[in-house]
Amino acid sequence: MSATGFTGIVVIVLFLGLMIFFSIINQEPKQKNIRPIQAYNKINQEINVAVEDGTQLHISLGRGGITGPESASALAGLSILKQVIEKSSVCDYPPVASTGNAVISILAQDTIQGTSKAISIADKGKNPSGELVGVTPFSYAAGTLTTIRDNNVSANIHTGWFGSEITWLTTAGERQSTPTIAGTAQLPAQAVIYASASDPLIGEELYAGGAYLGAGKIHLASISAQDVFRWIIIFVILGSVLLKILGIDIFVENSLAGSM
Amino acid sequence: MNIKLNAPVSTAIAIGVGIIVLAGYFIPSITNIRFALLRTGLVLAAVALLVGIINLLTVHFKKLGPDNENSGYSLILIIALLLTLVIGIIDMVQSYMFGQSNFQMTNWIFTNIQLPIETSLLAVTAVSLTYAAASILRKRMDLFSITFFFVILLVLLGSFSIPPATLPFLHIIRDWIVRVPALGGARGLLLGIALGTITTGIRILMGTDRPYGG
Amino acid sequence: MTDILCPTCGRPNPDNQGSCEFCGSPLGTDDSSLRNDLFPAKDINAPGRHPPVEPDDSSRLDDFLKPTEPAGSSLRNDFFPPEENDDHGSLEPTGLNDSSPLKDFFSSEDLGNQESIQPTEPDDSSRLDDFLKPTEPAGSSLRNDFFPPEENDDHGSLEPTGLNDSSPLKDFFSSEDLGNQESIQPTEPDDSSRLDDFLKPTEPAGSSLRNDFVPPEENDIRDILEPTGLNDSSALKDFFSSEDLGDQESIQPIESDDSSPLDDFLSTKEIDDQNNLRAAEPLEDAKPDSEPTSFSGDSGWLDMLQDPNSTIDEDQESEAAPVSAPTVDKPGTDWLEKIKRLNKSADEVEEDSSFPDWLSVTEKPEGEPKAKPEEPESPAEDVPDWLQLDDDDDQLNDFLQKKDLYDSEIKSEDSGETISEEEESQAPAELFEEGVEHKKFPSWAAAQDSAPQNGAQEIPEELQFLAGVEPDSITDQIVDPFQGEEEEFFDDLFSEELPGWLTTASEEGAQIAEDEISRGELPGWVEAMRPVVESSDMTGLSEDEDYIENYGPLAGIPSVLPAEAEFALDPEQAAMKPLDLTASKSHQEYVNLLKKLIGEEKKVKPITKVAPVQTQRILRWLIAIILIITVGGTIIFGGTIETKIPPEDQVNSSGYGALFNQIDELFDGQPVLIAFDYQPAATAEMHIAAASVVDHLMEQGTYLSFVSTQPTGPVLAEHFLTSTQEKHGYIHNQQYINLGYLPGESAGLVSFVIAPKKIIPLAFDGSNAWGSPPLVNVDSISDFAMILVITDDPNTAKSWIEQVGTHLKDTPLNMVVSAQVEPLIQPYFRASPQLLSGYVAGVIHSLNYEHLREQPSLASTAWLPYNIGIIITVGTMFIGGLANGVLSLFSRHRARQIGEIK
Repeated sequence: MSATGFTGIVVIVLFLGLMIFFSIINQEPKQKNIRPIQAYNKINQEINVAVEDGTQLHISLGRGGITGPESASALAGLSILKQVIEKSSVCDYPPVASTGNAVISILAQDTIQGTSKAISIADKGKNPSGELVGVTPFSYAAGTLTTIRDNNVSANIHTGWFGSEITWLTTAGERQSTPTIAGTAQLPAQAVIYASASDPLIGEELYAGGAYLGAGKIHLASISAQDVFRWIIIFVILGSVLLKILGIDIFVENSLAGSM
Repeated sequence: MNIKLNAPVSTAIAIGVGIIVLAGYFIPSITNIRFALLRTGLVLAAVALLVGIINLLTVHFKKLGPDNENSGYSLILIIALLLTLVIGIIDMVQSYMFGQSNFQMTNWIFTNIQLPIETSLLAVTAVSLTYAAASILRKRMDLFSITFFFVILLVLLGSFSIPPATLPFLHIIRDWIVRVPALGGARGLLLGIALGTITTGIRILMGTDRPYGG
Repeated sequence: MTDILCPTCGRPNPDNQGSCEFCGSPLGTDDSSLRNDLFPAKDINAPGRHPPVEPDDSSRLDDFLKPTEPAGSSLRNDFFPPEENDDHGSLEPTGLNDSSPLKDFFSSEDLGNQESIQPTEPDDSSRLDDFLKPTEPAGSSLRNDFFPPEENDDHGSLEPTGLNDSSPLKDFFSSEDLGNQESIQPTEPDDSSRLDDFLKPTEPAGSSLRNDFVPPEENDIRDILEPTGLNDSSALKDFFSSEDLGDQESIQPIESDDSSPLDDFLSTKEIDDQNNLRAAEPLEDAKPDSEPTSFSGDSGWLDMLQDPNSTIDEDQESEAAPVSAPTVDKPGTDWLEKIKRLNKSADEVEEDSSFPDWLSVTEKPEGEPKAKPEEPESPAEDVPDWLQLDDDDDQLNDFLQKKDLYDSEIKSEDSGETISEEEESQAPAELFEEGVEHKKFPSWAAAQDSAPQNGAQEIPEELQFLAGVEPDSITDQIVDPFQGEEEEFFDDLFSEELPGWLTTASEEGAQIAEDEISRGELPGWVEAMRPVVESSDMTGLSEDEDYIENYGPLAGIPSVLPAEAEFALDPEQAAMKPLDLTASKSHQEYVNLLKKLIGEEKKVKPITKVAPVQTQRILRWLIAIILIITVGGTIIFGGTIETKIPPEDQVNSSGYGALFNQIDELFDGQPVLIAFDYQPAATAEMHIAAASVVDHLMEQGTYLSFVSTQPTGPVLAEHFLTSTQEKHGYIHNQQYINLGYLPGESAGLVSFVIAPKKIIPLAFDGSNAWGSPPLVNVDSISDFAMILVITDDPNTAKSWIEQVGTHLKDTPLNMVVSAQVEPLIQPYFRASPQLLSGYVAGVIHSLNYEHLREQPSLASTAWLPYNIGIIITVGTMFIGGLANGVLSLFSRHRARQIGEIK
């Protein structure tokens, strides 16, 4: 086993333990201990507005699949989609979902159907769609523009894997005078989102959607575990810098290389 | 809440496959099992693409009608998709069976239709990005936005390199920005994304998140 | 306390005055007591009163009554002007020396009010007899005169003014609203005989009176009927037959303009509760002793009233005949009900001009002695002076006994007569079987003693209908007061059943009757005399009293709520008559406002949301136009420019320098894997960035294998070769192989790393990829001499580095990436161990690479437009950003000012 593999196992096991630990100690899933994120507050507001206004929300899940590193952002988008459907079940029009990946499209439809059955949305005509808009970034962006420009859409939530083409989506929302909540794991797209979206999700905020939308205490435990690991990484980085300054880094590398 | 009998089964399958693939990354002895699962996943992913295309067709078929103002676009999409599919099949038949053409018609469609369109879209993206950067101070007039705005200007000017007007210090600044703050920030973001990815994956493995309908 | 009312000016004068203090006119009759009773001071100024005339003797009374004595309908019309419905005057008797003055006695302008017919004090019994004489209806024609159709609502008090013929009596009983139960109270007689005559009619007339006596809907005021002793039950049946049974009126001997004294006392609730008992007791005791001789002598007029066929001396002077209607009889209820149904509803009755049915008595055969004396049962101390029997107890007792005896004889003699007559006569007798012991004394007088005892224990039979009790002896005796030509008419009426509301009222009344009987107090009508008479004020109002009821059973009682609304309320009428609400303008405005609010609730109001950021289309179009013009113009009209070669140290530490060195070390025939993992949109940049690198590889003579994790990658590879590397003339399956699409992204890459031949067994064109020259020596990923990834996606670059680069042993992993990917892959290049051997990022690195190769290519061509585009973009961005910044500051300042103002 390589050092990278060993480190990976340790990290995963530690994460799993921390998540279980925090999910046990946090019996009451309250959100009072997490910092407020404006984008998720905006999502809750827009859900309420959609209920009152008789409009619908648009959730675009991006073009990331489940077989790559972008899968995490795509799954995070699916989690947000599920929460939004549950919260907006009393809307006249359920949310509409769009994807740029075939697998995510299938999963989105599965999530929609499962959630709709769970909340007893019997009218299939009102079931939110999870259509595949396009298989390339710009075809997906161009196809999504049609949904964004629908007058019945009151807000757009872009959570998933996007490239720089997301500026099309955010700009279209701006032209429709609808708020845009956007988050992605791709860094260039984050820069675009920061510049063009009304409520951006930066970095790992995308993965905290379940905790902020009330998906359960395991999501809160995930955030707590991430915080623990974030501090661990900080101390490791600072320690590495210190060791490098002291010249001990080479000794450590050699020691690790010898042991592995 | 409806309880489906296949929910535990699908959950068990998802968790089991995930754990095996993950363990195969660290344990070489189970690489073969991992590989088999990955191959199955690849096939399913390819089939999923086909399913997605069928879904795309279905959605736009539903959009056809006088009630939908965008039904014309849906019609164009359906025609283009079917036409491209037919041409691709013809090219494939000719190539596989007769070895005559090397997907010439498909290349022609791609080169003369899809490529210009998508390139143009990217060009428009450049305009949109420019506009977004110009309007960021109107959206959020704070320190971070101002910093963001001027960093963009510096990086762009640092990329500017026409000999009479080249400013060497701009290159230095640009390189420093790309290497230090941008890289540090990107690393930090990637670390955060990695942590989020891990937790998301663990939730999937734990079965608490079941996007597969379980 | 009583004054003499001046017949000329209407003002009160002391009773010792012979002439009016105000106008000097001689005052009324010599009999001051009667005068005082007839004209109480408080009623002098009451509206609607007829100006009294001097009634000192019969001639004067005649003179007084002349102007007000209409004949037939004319008289009726005078007494009941349709326009004066609200004024309920009572005709004041002014003289009773003959019958003619009494014609107007009972006339009333407003029959809607509870009024009592108060006969004037006659000089002798004959005049009183004459007074009652006209109560004999002559027939239907006369009846018609009594009930003008126009006066349905108003039921004035019928005050006897003169009854020398039937016409006054027509007016007396003229009432279109027969629901008003009236009681005729006798005036204080001078002697017992006159009083006997007067009181005879107070006997309950039978079931008909009972029906009127107990209106089903208004139990509180149904008690006010006082016995008047009208033996002529048929007449009284009609008289009390009412369409509006809620209005009960008592005919009092003395008028009260709007609220007669009796009305006043009747108007109290307490009295109402007791009057059932009081009215019933005399009925109970009223066992008429038929003494035709004495009755014809002293009370012949009363016999006339009771029995039109009786032998009545027509020369007898008519006396005021108090009429009461407290008769309660179930059969009578039936025919009254039929009358009610004939008129269909109270509302219709009000508008209907049909005559009271009781007038059909005129059609009955005369000689029906049905005097059923009905005495008020009020205690002696409550009885007014004029009703006190101190002076003539013996005479009165004798008279009543004779009357009772006479009645009984008549009943026995007339048993074979018409059913109605028999019933009318027998019904009271049967009802009052228990009161046999009181026959020796006038029933009303006996009731003074017996009422408390009997009333507390027994329910008078005439009130049994109130308790829901239907005497078997009575139920079979359907009293049909109407015989003769209207017999069929009333048969139709009687064929109908009792309405539900009346049945309910009977049940309710039963309980009330029990309660009232248990109290056993003085008759209410006697007690009610006091407040009216004792009022010393001209207006009848004391200083502390704001209002004295003028109408209805509460008339004369101060500090009560006006009863007109309830008085006029008829359940059936209210049920049928639509409610006309009088809404003022403000009410209408409120209604409109409410309607508007409700209407707005139904409207779906689109929520006007403030746009997060207002779009600036002008800026957008301006940027696009500037970029297109400048960059396009540069591409068209520009050329290549010479750039400086970067410093050597910079090249050695750069990714393009490392890549150049690696490719430069490759030789002919070595397999190189190139991944075309960029989107078609990034073709322009990626072609510029990769053209020089791939050209370098082809120059080295390497075999190229193309793969892509993007569906469009294989086509892009072909397009890249044809568009940028056409000059090399590479042949598919000879110098290069296109493996096509590798699905699964990262997982596909991992699988491809593990077993490339299994993952992609065929080439893009379906040929055997691994048997072609480029791949003939490749079994695994590490067998490639170099792996070059062309991508615009940092994630794809990471995937290749993390999934493939970690499995490579000696095979270098290099990349040609977009400029945006460079910051993300640079750490892998600079890390140790180095996961990325070299890279070219964007146009800048490509240009430098061309400089290294010393072969200008696409990067050199695109350099000028690229830089022009950069500078234009920076300029536009800077100007636009500053402008937006200033606008943002202004908007913030404005918002702050607005906030301060608010």
